[in-house]
Amino acid sequence: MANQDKIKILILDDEPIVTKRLKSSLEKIGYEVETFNRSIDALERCRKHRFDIVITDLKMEGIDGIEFLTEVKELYPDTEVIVITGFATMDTAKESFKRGVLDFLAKPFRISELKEVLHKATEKIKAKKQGK
Amino acid sequence: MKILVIVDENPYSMYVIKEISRISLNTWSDITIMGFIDENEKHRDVNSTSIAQAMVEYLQIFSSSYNDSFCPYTFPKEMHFSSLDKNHFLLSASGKKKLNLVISKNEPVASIVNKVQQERPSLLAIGCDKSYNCQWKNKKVPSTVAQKVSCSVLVVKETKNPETIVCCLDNNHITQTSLELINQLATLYKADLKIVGIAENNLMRDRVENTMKEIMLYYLNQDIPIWLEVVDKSILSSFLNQVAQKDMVALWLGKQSFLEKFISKEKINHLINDTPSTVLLLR
Repeated sequence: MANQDKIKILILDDEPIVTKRLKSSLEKIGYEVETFNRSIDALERCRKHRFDIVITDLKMEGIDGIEFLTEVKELYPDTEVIVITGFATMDTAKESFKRGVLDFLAKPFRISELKEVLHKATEKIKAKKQGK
Repeated sequence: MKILVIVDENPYSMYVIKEISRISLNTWSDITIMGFIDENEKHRDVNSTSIAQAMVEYLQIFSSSYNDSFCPYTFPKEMHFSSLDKNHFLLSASGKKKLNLVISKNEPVASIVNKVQQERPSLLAIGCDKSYNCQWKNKKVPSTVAQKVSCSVLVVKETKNPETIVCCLDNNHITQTSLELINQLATLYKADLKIVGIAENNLMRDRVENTMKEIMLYYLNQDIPIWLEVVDKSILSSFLNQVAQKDMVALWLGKQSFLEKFISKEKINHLINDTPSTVLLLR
C-alpha cells in the first residue's frame, strides 16, 4: 500500500502484551498502526488526528471503552470501531452495537479473526471513499 | 472467539449446548456445532438420522436463549442439513457471527482433531456423563479428544454455576489466551478465582510463589480479586478430587506442561469421566 493510501488504525488496550502483538501482526499486512495503553492518551490523540479504524478494549482504568468509543464516533462518525474485550457481557455487546461499532470480538481470539473483521472494515471504508 | 462444540444425542450434550448458549450471549462467538452419524444410520437420509434431529433441537434451544431481536446469528426457518461433500452435511445459522451445524459420517476422534486443526478454535466444548464412564459410542471420546487437541477444552457435565474456578498453575506455561478464557468464564459465572500453585516438598516453593506473584499482579491490574493457595504434590490428587465435587477445575496442560509431570493422564481422564465438576483444560 502507498503511504497515503494506508489504512490508519488506533489500538487501545491496557495490556501492553496485547497492543504489541496486534501492532506487529497488522503492520506486517500493510496497516499503519498506533497503540495506546491508557484511554486518556488515546482520546487525546483522537482529538488531534482521525483514524480510519479504532480497535478498543472495554474494561480500562479512567475513561472506559464505551465512553471512549462514544466520543470517537461523535468526533468521526465514519471511523469504524471494533471492540475487543476480555470480560464480555450481554450488556456490553448490546451497548457497543447501539453506539455503532462494526464488530465485537471477545478475547481470546486469533489474529485471523481480527484480520477478517479488518478486511470487512477496509472494504466499507473504500466503498465510502469511492462514494458508493 | 471461536468455539467448536461436539455433541451426540445424550443429555450431557444438551447441557453443553445450554452452557455454550450462555457463553455466546456474552461473547458473540463464532460457533461450529459438530455431531456424528451412528454407524447403523449411515445409509439413511441425513435429515432423518437421530443426530440431525437432536441437533435441530439444540439449535432451537440455542435460538430460544435470544429472546429479543438483538442476536448475532440468523436462525433459518427451514431446519434442513445440506450436503457439503459425501461425508459432511451443513445447516447454517450464520448472521453477523458464524453459527454452523456440521454432521460428519467419519470417525469422531480423528474428525474432531482435524476440525481443530482446520478451524483453530480458542475453545472446544464437549459434554460428558458426570458419574460414570461416558456413553460416547462406547468410547471415551471426551477424555481422548481432550488429550489430543491443541486448543483449550471445556468438558461440561451438567448446567450449573460454579461458585469458584480453581486454576491449578503451571509454572512453565501460562498463555495470555488461557488467562483470557478464564476471565470470560469467571465473568459469565460471576465466580471467584482461586489460583493454586503446586510445590514438591517445599523445593519449588520459590518458583511457584514467583509465578503466583505474576498472576496476582495481572489480576490486581484488572481489579479482580483472587484467592491464592499452595498445595503440596503429595496431596494434589485428593485436593483435585475434593474440588471436582463442586467447583470448576481448570488445569494448564500445554505441550511442555509442568503439571503433566504431576498429574497423570489417568488422573485427568478420571477428572473428565468420573467427577461431577466441569473441567477446563487450558492450553
